[in-house]
Amino acid sequence: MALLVVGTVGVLAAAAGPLYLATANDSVLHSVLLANPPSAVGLTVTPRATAGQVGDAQAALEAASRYRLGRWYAPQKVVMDAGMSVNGASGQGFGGDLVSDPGACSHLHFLQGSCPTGPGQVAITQRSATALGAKIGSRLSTSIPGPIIYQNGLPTQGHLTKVVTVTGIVAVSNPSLPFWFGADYFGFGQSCPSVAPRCLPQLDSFFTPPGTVAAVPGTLGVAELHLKVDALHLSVLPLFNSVVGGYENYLNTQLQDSVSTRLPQLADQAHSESQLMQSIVLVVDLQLVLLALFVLFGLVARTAEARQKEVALARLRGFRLSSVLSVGLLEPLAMLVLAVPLGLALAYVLMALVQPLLLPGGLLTFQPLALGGSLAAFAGGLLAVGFGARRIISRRLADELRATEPKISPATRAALDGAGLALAVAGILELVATGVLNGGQPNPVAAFAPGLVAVAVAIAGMRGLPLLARLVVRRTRNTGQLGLGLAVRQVVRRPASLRQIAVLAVATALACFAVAGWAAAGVNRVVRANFTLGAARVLTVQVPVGVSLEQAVDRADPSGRYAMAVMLSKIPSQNLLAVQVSRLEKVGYWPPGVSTVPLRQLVNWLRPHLRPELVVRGSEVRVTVTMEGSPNPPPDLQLELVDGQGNPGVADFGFVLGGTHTYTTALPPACLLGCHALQLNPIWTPTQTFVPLQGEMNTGPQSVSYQLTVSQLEQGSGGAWGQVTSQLGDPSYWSGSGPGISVSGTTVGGQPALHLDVKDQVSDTSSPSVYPGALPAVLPGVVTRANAVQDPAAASVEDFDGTSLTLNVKYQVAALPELGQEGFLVDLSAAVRAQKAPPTLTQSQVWLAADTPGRVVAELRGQGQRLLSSRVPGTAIAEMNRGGLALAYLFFLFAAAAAAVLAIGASVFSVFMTSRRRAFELAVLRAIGLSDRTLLGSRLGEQLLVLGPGVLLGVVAGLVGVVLALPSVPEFSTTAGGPPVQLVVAPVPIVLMVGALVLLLAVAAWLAAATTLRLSSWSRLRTEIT
Amino acid sequence: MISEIRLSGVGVRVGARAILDHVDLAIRAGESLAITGPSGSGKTTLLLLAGGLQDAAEGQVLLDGRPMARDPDTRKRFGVVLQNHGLVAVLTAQENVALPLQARGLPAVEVERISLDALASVGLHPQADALVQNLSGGQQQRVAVARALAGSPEVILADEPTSELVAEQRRAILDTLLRQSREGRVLVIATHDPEVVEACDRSVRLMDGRLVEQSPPLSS
Amino acid sequence: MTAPSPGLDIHFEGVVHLYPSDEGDVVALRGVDLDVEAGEEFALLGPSGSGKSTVLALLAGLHRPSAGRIRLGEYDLGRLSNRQLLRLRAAEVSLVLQDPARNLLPYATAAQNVEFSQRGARARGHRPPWGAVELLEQLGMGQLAHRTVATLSGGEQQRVAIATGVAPAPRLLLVDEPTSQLDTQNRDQVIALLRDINQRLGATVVSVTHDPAVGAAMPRTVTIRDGRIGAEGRRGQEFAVVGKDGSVQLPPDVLDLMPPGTLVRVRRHATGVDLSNSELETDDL
Repeated sequence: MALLVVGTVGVLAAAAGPLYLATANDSVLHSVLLANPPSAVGLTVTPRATAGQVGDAQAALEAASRYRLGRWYAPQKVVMDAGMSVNGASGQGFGGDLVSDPGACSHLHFLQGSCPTGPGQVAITQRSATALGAKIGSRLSTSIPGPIIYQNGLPTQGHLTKVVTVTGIVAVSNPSLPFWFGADYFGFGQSCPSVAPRCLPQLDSFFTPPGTVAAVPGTLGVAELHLKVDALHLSVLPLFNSVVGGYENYLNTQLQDSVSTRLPQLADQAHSESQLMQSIVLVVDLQLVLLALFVLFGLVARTAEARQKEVALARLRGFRLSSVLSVGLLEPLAMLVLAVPLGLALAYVLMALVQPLLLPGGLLTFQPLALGGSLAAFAGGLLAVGFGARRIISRRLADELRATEPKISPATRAALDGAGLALAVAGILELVATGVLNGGQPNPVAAFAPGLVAVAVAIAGMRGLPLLARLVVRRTRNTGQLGLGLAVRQVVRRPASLRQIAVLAVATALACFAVAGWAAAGVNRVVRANFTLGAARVLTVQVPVGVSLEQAVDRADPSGRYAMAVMLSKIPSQNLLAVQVSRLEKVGYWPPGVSTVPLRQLVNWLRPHLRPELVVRGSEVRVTVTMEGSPNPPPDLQLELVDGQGNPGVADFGFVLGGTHTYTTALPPACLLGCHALQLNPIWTPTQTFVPLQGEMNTGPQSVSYQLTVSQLEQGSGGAWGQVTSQLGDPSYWSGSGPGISVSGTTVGGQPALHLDVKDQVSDTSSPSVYPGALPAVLPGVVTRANAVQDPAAASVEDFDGTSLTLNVKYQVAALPELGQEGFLVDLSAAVRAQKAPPTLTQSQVWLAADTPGRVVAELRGQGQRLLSSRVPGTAIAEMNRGGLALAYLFFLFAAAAAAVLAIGASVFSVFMTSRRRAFELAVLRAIGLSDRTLLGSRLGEQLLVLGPGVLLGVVAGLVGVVLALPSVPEFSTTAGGPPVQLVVAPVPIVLMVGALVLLLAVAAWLAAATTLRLSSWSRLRTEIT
Repeated sequence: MISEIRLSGVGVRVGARAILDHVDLAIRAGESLAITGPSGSGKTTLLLLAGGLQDAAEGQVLLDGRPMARDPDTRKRFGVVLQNHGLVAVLTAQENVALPLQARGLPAVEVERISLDALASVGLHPQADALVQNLSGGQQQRVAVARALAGSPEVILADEPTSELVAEQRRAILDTLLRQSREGRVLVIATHDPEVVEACDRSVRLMDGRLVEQSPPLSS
Repeated sequence: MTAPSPGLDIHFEGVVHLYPSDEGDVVALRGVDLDVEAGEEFALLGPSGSGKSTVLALLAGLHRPSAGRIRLGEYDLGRLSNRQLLRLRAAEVSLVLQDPARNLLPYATAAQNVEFSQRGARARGHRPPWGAVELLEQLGMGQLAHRTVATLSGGEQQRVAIATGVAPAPRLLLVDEPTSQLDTQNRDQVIALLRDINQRLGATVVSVTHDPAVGAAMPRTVTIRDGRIGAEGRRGQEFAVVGKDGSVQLPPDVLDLMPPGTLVRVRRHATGVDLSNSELETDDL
């Protein structure tokens, strides 16, 4: 019974929406939690007091068990860390720490020996052992912090010696394993933090049982509570929040501990993602339910009509009104009532099947909203029955007995259609006017648009088709195309078949939009993941000291096709992404729409035109300067340098006296290997002499003006002097910066010389300076729209070491890789040149193209680059595919399938309902001489004339809906961070879907045509009781 | 032109019941024949047999001495009016009438002319473009008659062609039908209206599947 | 169980009825006066289109008369509300439609059909004096009781249809063309059935027919022609009826002597009038 099917589908749809949502919400939470490191979702309790941390941490764990946090947190442990230094066999000192992490042994791979269990026993990594010259059983003498001692009356940290025994040698473990909770115990070779008074080379941590570390004063102790992600479902979240909140409160107030976790923010993030998903799913579900109700209305009406004879008889026999109604409507009503539990049960079954595959982590629970939804759908069906009842009641018995077909007058029908069309169009206009569509900001309400478009197109098509057909009818009026002519007239002159076309159109349109949306969202996710990451594979590396990342990459990949060096600085509102622009086109991922100009143009703009650097090599440097003017006191001339390691230095020439003199000074020792000269600064400080007798300050002039001519710059080593290639006479090479200075080229004695004209130099912290062209004063940059500045040349950003750079930003882009929507893009070489000190605020990366051969990475490793992490877009894609919006689009697909079922069900039903009547008609037509072929053609033509326009209109409406609405339906939970969402219409899924639908309907059509033809045998011609 | 349809020893069964039992009947052109008798007596079946629209379990139906073929070409020589009209509801009166003409492959102009003439002959020319579903029962019946007569078929079979008509119309339709017979065609009408039986040249009566009366009496 | 009350008496007083149709209003009844006693059994004769179906429809309460008054027993049909009409149809007045198929549910058995038609009466507390199978047996159709209606012959269906009409024990049974589809044997069975019902139940039975054999079998016939009662027959004898306005419908067999439009001279004598065609008279002389 088609009514049952449609009713069930309707209820199913209504119930499935909320069910899906609830489960998906849970899944979203699960995914968000999984996507973040355990240290972010778990609890970290850090005692605030510096002393007795271990005891405090343990007290925190005890409290945790009182609060029964074991329900959601396991494992729970106290991790202790004490800094120490140790001497190796060759007497060299190393820095490190003693770490107690309960359970660490089961997460370490023991190469030799076993887990340290007794006090004073340690397990160390292979490379630490090698560096120390230690083996199993070696006793190492460590120096740990001891009690405070007083030296010269000042308190200083004392030291104790502790001897530890090596019982196990382990392999280096991956610090990103969840067990380590985000701590990195494998920092071998890292440079120490700048605050360390004495910087020793670092070893990996020593693993040891708690007893060894606990007694060390100043040991850091932290309580870690790892979250059991699978145990945290939305349904328990309120309880969880209240319990944990109480716990945190207790810790904060009673134990003076600070608790850190990002769980609330992550939960909020999951929640906002869920909200978006919710809106979309509900909008889609609503449209689906409305479609089902519309079909249901038609079905109930036709079923009631089919029982018209029984109703007439009942009225003739004087049945009570209630009995009459039950005769006519009991069956549809019963079907509807049956449909509710059936649909609800099916929804649950479907969800249960779907959940493990598509909604991992989601918990299927009873949802009152699902029940409510199905009851609402049932109410809709009841309304249809109510209309049927009204029709029965209002007809006159005499008419009923005469069995005239109840006809809705064409005027009423036109009014209804017109109203529907007007509403749909009004709806679309409203959406546009309120900025939901094409408003720039995605809005889930936009998902109504495809339904509205579908309805509008369907109604227009329904009305327009007869007009169109009139032309065809005229032409087939008297030609030999008898079958076609019959078919056309049958379709066009019957409101029921036109309605069928409308239903088919709406269902196809929804399905089209759903499939297109799902495909497009999938593509966009891939694009976003790729773009946000930057390339097919991104390695975060730790560059060994003294090695230039650029040179390393150039060596590993001379072709420039596979690898690209990148340095990244993330300071809020001053993000900087520096890449080797010459390799960006081949290695980087740049989808269309990010920039309005092609990537090549950006690359050409960014490509640095670096002048040769001013290199000074030697132990001494001397300069010949002619001073005109008598500044009082004279300025102090300094040459700023930076060595090969990036360490800054200064060559101070001292005061510049009037006349021509040569000034010599020593270079920093590292300049033996070569230093880059950064700038030449005449620094002037006004004098203030205190005249004791007069008790006042005698101040000199507050500003000075003078002129300097630099005619020689030489470097010397061991008495031998040579020219520095300095291009003194080239004014384009030297630029002045700072107040009052102008630079020009000149000649002195036939040699090029640099002329500086300083006016009104005042004493403040910024002295004018002269830059050699090696240092670009202004870097070309590309900026994101969020950071766009008024004056192109005025953007100011901090470089990797804190240097302030001036950028000339010519181009704007929608977003940048890694940085999202805030940041600047510059060339790496240029940025590195601008550095004056070792970079402290950066991340070094190597970006790899998809087809990078393995030797490139091997080469990098061989150079000593330490691979900290390797990321691919697939991870982000998988994460996004589990995210709320992806689940919403998945629901689209489900809705598409349901819509298709509705359409097919309605079509099958109508064929079934009319088959008997039509069979008789066909038998008569055969009797009057029409051939079987004509009749089959007519019957088939009828079906196809409904199928064809229906699907065609649907596809058109669907595509219009896609173009109109898809860009406005949110695909990502935040628009920030990614390239603009592309309207990608992937033709393949749509074609597949339409093809499948057409195939199914065509099969149904063929079956229908053949069946009715077979039924229309001669025996139909004898009068029978119908 | 067909001169005779002969049924000899014809029997039709439905399950155990014999609807027609050993019926011998000769139907001659130019001699209008009324088949009368209560419903369930086999009137309709006899009519359908004579028209080649039904199979006989026993006996033969001969068209001019040869067994009646059941192909569309034979169909085109017959015009049939059935009890439930069998009109296509969504076609206009004219379109319905035109159907058998189009099935015969006549040119469009001819079809137009003949169908309008046929409608005029039953007094429905003004309703030519009305959809059949909007016509009254009597009008529908007349359209069915027009369809049967369109193109002057050689054999006309009518099953209760006047049951829904009022007196004057009934008379008119009857006259139209009888004129066909007088012009040398075969006309068989199944009816229980005594007026119709009166008007026909010859009548036979069916009772429980057998021919029981003939009037005027059979001449050997 | 209450004994079935006797049939309803029928009184038509100057009933005029019009139908709207495509070609303007059609006057179906032009002033009908009719008196029928309770428990009478009569046939309503007349050619098709004469108005007899209209009389039946009015009696069944399907329409309200355009003008005039119809009294059924204690009911004034024109004054009844729809609900009262419904109640009437449940228990008092039963109409059997012309085509037996239209009175029956084809997929149900004869007994189920009879039960179906009793539902209306039962729901209102009028318990019919018989069960379905009992009724069928009493009416000589016992062997059909459990057969599906669709498998029955035309005659059997007609009789079952009449049985469904009788089932609620109405006081007025209206039957439309009860024998039009039947052969002689079945026809006689139906006529006997109707008589049986009339005598056993005491209900007034009105049969509309154009079959003269049915008319001959009824104790009374009323012939309607052209919207007026033209003739009545009692016990085999035909009488013309003088209408309210003094008009008389001449029986059809004398119309060749006096076709419509003839000027007739009316001469009165002791037991009636002489009508003579004035033109013919002149010729004779």
